[in-house]
Amino acid sequence: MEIAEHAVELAMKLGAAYADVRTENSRNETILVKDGKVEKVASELQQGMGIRVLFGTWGFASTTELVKPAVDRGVKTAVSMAKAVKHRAGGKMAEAEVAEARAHAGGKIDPFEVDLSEKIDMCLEADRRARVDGHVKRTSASIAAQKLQKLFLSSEGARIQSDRVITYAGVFALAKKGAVTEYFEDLAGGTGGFEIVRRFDMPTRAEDVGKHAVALASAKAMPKHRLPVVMDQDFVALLTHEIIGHPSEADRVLGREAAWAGKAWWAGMIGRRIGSKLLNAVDDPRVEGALGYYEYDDEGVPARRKQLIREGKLLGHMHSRETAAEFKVEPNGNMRAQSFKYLPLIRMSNTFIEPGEHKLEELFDVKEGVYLKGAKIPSIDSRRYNFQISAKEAFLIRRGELVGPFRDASIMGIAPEFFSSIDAVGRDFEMRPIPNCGKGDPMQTLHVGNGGPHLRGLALVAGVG
Amino acid sequence: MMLEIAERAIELTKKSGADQAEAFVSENLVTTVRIAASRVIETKKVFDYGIGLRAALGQKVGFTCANSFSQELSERAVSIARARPPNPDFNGFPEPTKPKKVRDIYDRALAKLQPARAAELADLMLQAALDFDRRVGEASGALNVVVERCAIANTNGLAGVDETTRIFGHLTVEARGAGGSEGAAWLGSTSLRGFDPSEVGKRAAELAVNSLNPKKVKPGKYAVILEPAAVAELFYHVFGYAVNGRDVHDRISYFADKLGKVVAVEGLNIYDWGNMAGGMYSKTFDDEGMPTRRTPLIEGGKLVGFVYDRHYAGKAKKDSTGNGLRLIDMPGRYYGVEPSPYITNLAIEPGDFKREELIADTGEGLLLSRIWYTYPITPQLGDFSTTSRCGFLIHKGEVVGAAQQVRIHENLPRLIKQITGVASDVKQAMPWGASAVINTPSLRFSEVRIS
Repeated sequence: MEIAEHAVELAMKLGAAYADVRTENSRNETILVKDGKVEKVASELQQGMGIRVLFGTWGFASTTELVKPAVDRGVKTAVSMAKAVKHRAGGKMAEAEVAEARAHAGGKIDPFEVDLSEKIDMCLEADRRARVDGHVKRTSASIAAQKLQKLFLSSEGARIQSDRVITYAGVFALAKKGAVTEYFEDLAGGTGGFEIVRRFDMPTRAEDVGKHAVALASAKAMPKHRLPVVMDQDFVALLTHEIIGHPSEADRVLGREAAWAGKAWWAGMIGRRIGSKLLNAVDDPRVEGALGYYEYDDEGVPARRKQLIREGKLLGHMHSRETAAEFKVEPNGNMRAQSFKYLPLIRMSNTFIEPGEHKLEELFDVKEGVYLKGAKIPSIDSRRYNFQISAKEAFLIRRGELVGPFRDASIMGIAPEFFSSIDAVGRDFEMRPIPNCGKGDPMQTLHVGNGGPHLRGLALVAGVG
Repeated sequence: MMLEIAERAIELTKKSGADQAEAFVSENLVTTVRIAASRVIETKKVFDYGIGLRAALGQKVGFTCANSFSQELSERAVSIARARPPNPDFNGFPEPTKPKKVRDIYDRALAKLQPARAAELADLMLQAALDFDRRVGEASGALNVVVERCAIANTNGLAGVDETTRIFGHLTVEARGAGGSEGAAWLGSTSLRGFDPSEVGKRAAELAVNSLNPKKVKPGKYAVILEPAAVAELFYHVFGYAVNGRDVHDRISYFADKLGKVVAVEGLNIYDWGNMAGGMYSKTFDDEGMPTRRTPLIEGGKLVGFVYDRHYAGKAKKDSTGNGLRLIDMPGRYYGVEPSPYITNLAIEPGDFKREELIADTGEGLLLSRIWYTYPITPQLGDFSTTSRCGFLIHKGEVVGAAQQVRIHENLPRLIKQITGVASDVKQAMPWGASAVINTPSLRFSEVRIS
C-alpha cells in the first residue's frame, strides 16, 4: 500500500493532471495431461505495478520490481513517456465515484488448497475416460487456477483492494475414422473456486467429449443451406461476443481501434433499431460466478449492468471515463487490463443476450432448419458487420426432429440482417467462459463471460471450404 | 548478471534435491506509442523481468517462476516435481552447444532509444500519412520498440546469454471520398537505421486514397493476388500451426500424415529461418538453449519438415529445430512459461515475376493488399475464413479500381496447390499480435471462391 501511495504522490509531484497505480500479486497453477501422460505441472508467481499518468496524453510504465528505487524509475518513465508527446490535447475524463472499497470473489473451495496429486489424478482419469474407443487418437484434460490480489489507488483518492479466484477445467478428444479427423472439447470456468471443477464432473464430460469426437468423425459434412438456424447457448455465447460485445466498446465506436481490432458498424446509431424486437443484450460485470466478474474496473469505476440493446434498439456502449466524457454519459466500468503490465482498454465483461419467452420445443418447430451446437472459431470483419462462425456440431431439423450429427458446419451472415431475422428466443439462459479475448497493441488477452439462451434466426449455413 | 542468477538458481535447485535443473532469466523492455484519431494518445513502457525454473527428478519435472530468484523458488520447483508422476516423454535438458553468432539482431541505438525519440518516430509516421493527400482522413496505429535479453543455464553445463532488438510501426489510414476507404502499412527492422517511419505513413495513405470508389465484386471464382501483408496474415494464422510439431503431433494440423508428400504447387519453397541475419525474430539460441537454424518446411512443393522444440521433437523421434520458445502476448522471451514450438521468421521464396508482370499476366481477378481476422475455422482441414480490408479489381491485366469488401471461405491445402504465380517483391510483414514475422512475395492463387 505504501509503495503505491508513494508512486501516486510522486507522479503528481512531477506534474501529472491525474495518476493511478495498480499493484498486483498473482499465483497461477496449471496441470495438463495429454494422451495419458502428465505433460505439465506449473506454478507461477507474479507481482508488479502499473503506473498511469495524464499529461493531456497518457503515459504508462510498469515494473516487476516493487522496491522504491524501481518504482521511482517507473513513475519517472511514465511521466517522461507522456511528456515525450508534443501535442497533448486529450484525456478529458468523466466524473466518477471515488471509491474506497474492498472486493472479494473467492469461491467456496480454494483451488490451491486442493492436493496437487488429487488434481493430477482427476486429469489423468478424465483423459483416460475420453478414450472411448480406438478411433480416439488424442486426448487431454487440464485444470488451471489463478488467485489475484489487486490494489488500485488514484490521485483523486480512490483506494480499492480486491481479490479474486478463477478456476478452469477442460477436456478434449480428437478422433480419426478413415480420412476424417474431428475433435470436440468442453470447458468450464468462472470466478470461483474448485467447486467449478467438481461441478463440471470431468470424467463424465470427458467421456461425452470422446463420444462426440467419434460421432463427428463418422458424420457427413454439412451441405450448404439458407435456412432458419437454431443455436445453442454455447454458440450464442461466441456470436454475442463477436457481433454484440466487441462493437459495443466505445473506443471502437469512436474509431480509436481502427488500426487493428477495428471499428463498429453501428457507430452513430444509438436509439435506432438494429434488430428484431426479441433481441435484448446486456453487459454486466456483476454476474456472480461468471468469468468476466469484477466489482471495480481498472479505473476504479464501480462495475454496473448496462443495457446495450433493448427490443432491437441500440441503447448504449461500454465506456472508459474518457469515452464517457465524449459521449456525455456516466462511465460504466469497462476499463480493464490483462495485468499490471498493460494500460487498461475498454473491454466487455459478461456480455449476453437476455432470455426470451420461447420454450425449447417451439424453437425447433420449423419445417426445415439447422441446429448449431457449440461454437468453434470465428472470422469477423473489422466493423463486426460480416461474420462467419463455425460450430462444434450441427443437425438438420426436419419437422421438429433432429437428423445428424453433421461435421464442419459454419454460418455466414450480415449482423443487422441476422439480428432482424431473430424470431424466437429461448428461456434457457447460460453463461459460458471465453478465456482468450484479444484486443490492444501490444495484444492483451482477457477473461470474459458470454452467454444467452437458445435462439433462432436466418443465416447461410456453409459446409467445408 | 542474468547468467550468474541462472547459474546460482540451478545450483540451489540441485541442492534442494533435483537431479537436473534449468533456469531461464529474461528481461524485456517494450515501448509503445499508440496513435488514434490522428494523434498520439498514449505512450507506454513495460519493464518485465523474471526467472523460470525447471527441476527434474528423473522424468518428473516441476516448473515454477517468479519476478526474482530465491531459495524458496528452487524448493517449490522440486516439490512440484516430487508430487507428480513421471512424464516418459521428458528427454532431459540439452547438452551444451556452441551456437553461431547471428548477424544484425541487436542494435545498441535501438536499445537506448529514448521516449522522446520514439514519440518523434511515431509522429513522423503520422505526418507522412497526413501530408500525402488532402483526402487522407483519420490515421491510427502504433510504433513498438522491443529490447529482449535472456540468459539460460542448465545442470549439463549449458550456459548462454542473448540480446535482440526490433522496431516496428503500423498505420491504418482512412481516406475521405466516395465509399470511404482505408489503407494500411507495416514496416519492421532490427535496427533504428533500418526503419523508415515516413515510408509507413506514405504507403498506408497511398493505399487508402487508391481504395476510394470501391466497386462491388460479384460472388464467384477469381484469380486472386495476395500482396505480402495479406500472405502474411493467411500464412501466420493458417499455415503456421500446420507446420508446428506440437499441432502435428496433436493431429490438429492438416499436414499430420503428409510428411514427404507433395502438398503444394511444384517449385514452392517455404522455410523457417530462426537465424536469419537481420531477421525480426532471429535469436542466437532458442529458449531451451538450442542453436537456431534454417529449417526447410516445403521444398519444391513437397512437405519436408516441421518446427520442433525438444519435447515434441522427442515424441516425433526428430531433433529439435531450435524453435522451443517461451512466448505470451506481450512481445519478448518470457520466463513465465515452459518452451513450446513456434515459427520465427517464416520465409516464402520469391519467384521471377515482377509484381506488375504478375498483375499483367492475371487478366481478370482481384488484388488484395490486406485481409483480416483470418482463422482456420476447421483447423484439421485447413478451411479458413477471412475478409478483405483493402482490395482492387484487375481487368485485362491492369488494376482498374478498388474492390468492395469480400469474404473468402477457402481451404489452404487446396489453395497452395493452385498457386499460379510467385512474385519477386519479398517484404516482411507481421499480423496483429503475431509472435513471428513472414518474409514473403505476392502470391497468385487460381479459382479462389469469393462471396
